[in-house]
Amino acid sequence: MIRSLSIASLALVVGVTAAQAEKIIIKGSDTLGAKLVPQLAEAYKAANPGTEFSIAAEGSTTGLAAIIDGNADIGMSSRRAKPTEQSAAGAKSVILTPTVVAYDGIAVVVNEKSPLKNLTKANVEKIFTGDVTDWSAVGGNPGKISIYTRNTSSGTYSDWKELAMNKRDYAGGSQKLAGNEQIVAEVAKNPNGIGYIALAYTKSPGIKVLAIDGDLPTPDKVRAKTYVYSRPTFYFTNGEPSGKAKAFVDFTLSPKGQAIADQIGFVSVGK
Amino acid sequence: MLNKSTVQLMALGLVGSFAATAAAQDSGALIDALVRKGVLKDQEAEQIRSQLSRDYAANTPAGKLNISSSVKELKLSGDVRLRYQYENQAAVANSAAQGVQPASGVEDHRTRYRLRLRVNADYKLADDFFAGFGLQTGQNNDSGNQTMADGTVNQNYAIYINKAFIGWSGIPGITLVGGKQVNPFYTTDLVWDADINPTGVTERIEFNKFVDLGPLELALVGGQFVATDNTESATSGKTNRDAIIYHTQLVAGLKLTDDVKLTVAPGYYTSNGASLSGDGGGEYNYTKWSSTGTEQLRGLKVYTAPGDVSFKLAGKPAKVLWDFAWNADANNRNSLYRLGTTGSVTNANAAKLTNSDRDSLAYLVGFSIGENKKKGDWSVLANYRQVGLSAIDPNINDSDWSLSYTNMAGYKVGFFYNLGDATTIGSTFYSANNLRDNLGGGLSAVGPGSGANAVQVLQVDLSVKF
Repeated sequence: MIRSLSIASLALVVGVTAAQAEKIIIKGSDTLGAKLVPQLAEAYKAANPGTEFSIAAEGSTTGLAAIIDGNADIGMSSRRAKPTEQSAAGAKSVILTPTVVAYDGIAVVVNEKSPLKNLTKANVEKIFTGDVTDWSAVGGNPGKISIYTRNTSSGTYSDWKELAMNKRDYAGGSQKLAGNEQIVAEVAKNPNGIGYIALAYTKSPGIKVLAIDGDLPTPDKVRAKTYVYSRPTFYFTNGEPSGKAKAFVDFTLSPKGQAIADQIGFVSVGK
Repeated sequence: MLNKSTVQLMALGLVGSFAATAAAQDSGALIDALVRKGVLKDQEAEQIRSQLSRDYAANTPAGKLNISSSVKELKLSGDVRLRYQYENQAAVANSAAQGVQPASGVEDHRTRYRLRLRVNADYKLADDFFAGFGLQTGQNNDSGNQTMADGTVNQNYAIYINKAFIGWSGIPGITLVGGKQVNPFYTTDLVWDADINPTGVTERIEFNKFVDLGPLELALVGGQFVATDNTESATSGKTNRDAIIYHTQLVAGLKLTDDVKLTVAPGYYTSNGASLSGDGGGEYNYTKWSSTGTEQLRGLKVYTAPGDVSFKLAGKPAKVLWDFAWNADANNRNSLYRLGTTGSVTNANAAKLTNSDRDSLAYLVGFSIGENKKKGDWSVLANYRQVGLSAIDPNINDSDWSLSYTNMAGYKVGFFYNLGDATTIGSTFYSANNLRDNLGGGLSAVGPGSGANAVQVLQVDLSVKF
C-alpha cells in the first residue's frame, strides 16, 4: 500500500514537473503581445493541453533583452535587432535569430472628426518632428497638433523614426504612451490628436486612418510593401528555434496560426 | 534548382562583396532589392540581415565591448594638458599673517610645470535615464592641475573623481540631474570657474518644448549645491546644518539673423548661511580662507546677468560677451570680513576701510573670435573685469584670474592654435591690480580680499583631446 502511494506520488511529481516544463515564456512587443500572441497561445493550448504561457508585452526592447539575458523562450519584436543588441548578445554567446511571423502596416490615425483623409509622407515627417505644429499647415482645421507616440522601449517607436521621420527626433511636445490601445484612446478623445498604431488596432471607434500619399494600409499593399510604412514583425530566439519554442513558432506559421494573424488585423506571411 | 542555403550563401556573398563588414548596416537597400526581385524571401533576407548585423557587432571595436543591455549609448572622452605657469604677486603690506606687519611691496614669484588628465564616461540608459563619471588628476578640490614633482622626483599622481551623476529626461523639456556634475548654468569665469563641477541637484526646464515661443529660446535652470557637510548636532547655529549654495537662472536666446544670436541669462545665487567647516577640505577651493573664519558663505545675495552676442566676423565665429554680478548683501559681507574694525586684529589700515559701493559690484566685458575644432583653427580672446571685495563668492570664481582674489581689476588675453584636429597649443595672460591697496583686517588679511596688491599669471598650454 505504502509502495503504491509512493509510486503514485512520484507519478504526480513527475506529472507536475512535466506540466511545468511546457510553460513557454514570451516577452517583448506590445504590437504582437497585446492581441496576436495571446490568441495564438489560446489556440495552441487548445491543441496542446497542459501547455502554459507567460506573456509580457512591454516593448520590443524588452523582448530582445530577455533573449540576450536568457529570461524568455521567445522575444517578440516589431523591429530588427540593433547592432548594440547583437553585440550584447554575442558577448553572452547568444545568437539573436529572427523569424518573420507576420507583416504589419503602421497606420497614421487622427480623430474621426478631422476633415483630413490623406497626408503626404513629407507632411507626416513635418508633423512628428515638430516642423509643423498647426493642422492648418497641412490642410486641416486650425488647431495645435497633439502628437501621441509609443514609448522608447517600443519597436514601433524606433521603426517610426526610421520609416517616417528620416531618423530625426520626435517633436518636443509629443506624448509617449505605453501601447497601441492608449494611443487609440487619446486620439479618439482629442480632435487635434494624431498618432500611429499597428494595423490590428485600426478598427477601433473614434479614430480615422489616413491615407499616405493616397495609399491606405490595406493587407495587399502591406504585403507588397507598396504602403510606405510596412514592416515585418518577428519572434527572436537564441539560435534556430528548438523544443517548445519551435513548436510554437511552427504553430504561428501554420495555416491556422496565420489565419489568426489575418483575423486580428495583421498580414499573414507566405501567401 | 538552388536550395535555400545556396541562395542565402550567394546572397550573403553578393552583399559582402559590395559591403565591407563595418558598413554592413548599409546593405539593407541591396537586400531589399533582392527581395523585390524574388531572389530572396523575406525570412531569408531577415536571416542575412541578422548575420550581417552580428558580423558588424563582432568585427568592430564596438562589438567587442561587453556592455550592459540597459546601456543605449556610451561615450568615452578625455584630454591631457601640459602647462607652464608663471605667477607673480605683489604682496599687500599686512598680508603675511593676521597681526603681523610685513614689509610693503614684497614680490612673490613662482614657476610651476603642471599636467592635467581627464577621462569621462557618459552613458545613455534605458527609460530616459543617463549617468556618467569623470576621473582627473589634481588636488582635493576642483582644479585638475597637478604640479609636476610636487614632492619627490619620482612622484606618481593621485586620481580623483570629478564627476559622478545620474540624470533623467523622461519628459521632453525637463532634465533633472543629481550628483557631481558639469555646471549647468550659462556663465563666464567671472562668477563660476569652469573647472568646478558642483555637487548637488539641478533642474532644467526648456519652455520651448511646451509652448511655441517662435524664435525665442527660453529655459529655467536651478541648482542646489552642497558646499560643505557640517555636523547637525553642532551647537553653533552656523555650523549645525550643511552649507548649501542656491543658484537660479533664466536663459533666453534670440536668433536675430542666421548668423547673429543674442543670449542673456539673468540669475540669482545665495546660500543658506551655514558655515564652511575647516580649511582646505570640502567641496570648493577655499584654501585661501583663514582657518579662523567661519563666515565664508555668508553675506551672499548675488544677482547675475551674463550674456553675449554671437556673430560671424571674417567668416569666423565671434562673440561679444559680458557678465555682471551685484551682491545685495555686500555690506554685511564686508562686516563679516571685519573691514573697518580692528576687533582682535592688529591692522594699521583697518580704521580707514569703510564700505564702498564698489565692493558690491563685479563685471566683465570681453570679445572672442575663432574656434579650435580642427587643424589650423585658431582663436583669440580678451576681456576686462573688475571684482569688488564682496561682490561674488571667491570659492567658486576663476582661480586663474588674479588667483581668485576679489577687490581686483584687470584683464585676461589668450591665443590658441590647433596643431592637429585634437591638439591645441596656446597661451593665456592674466593681470590684475587691487582696487584698494593694502586692504586688510580680519579675514581679508589672508583671505581673498587682499591676497596681493597685484597679480600676473602667464600660462602656456599644450593639450590633446581624445
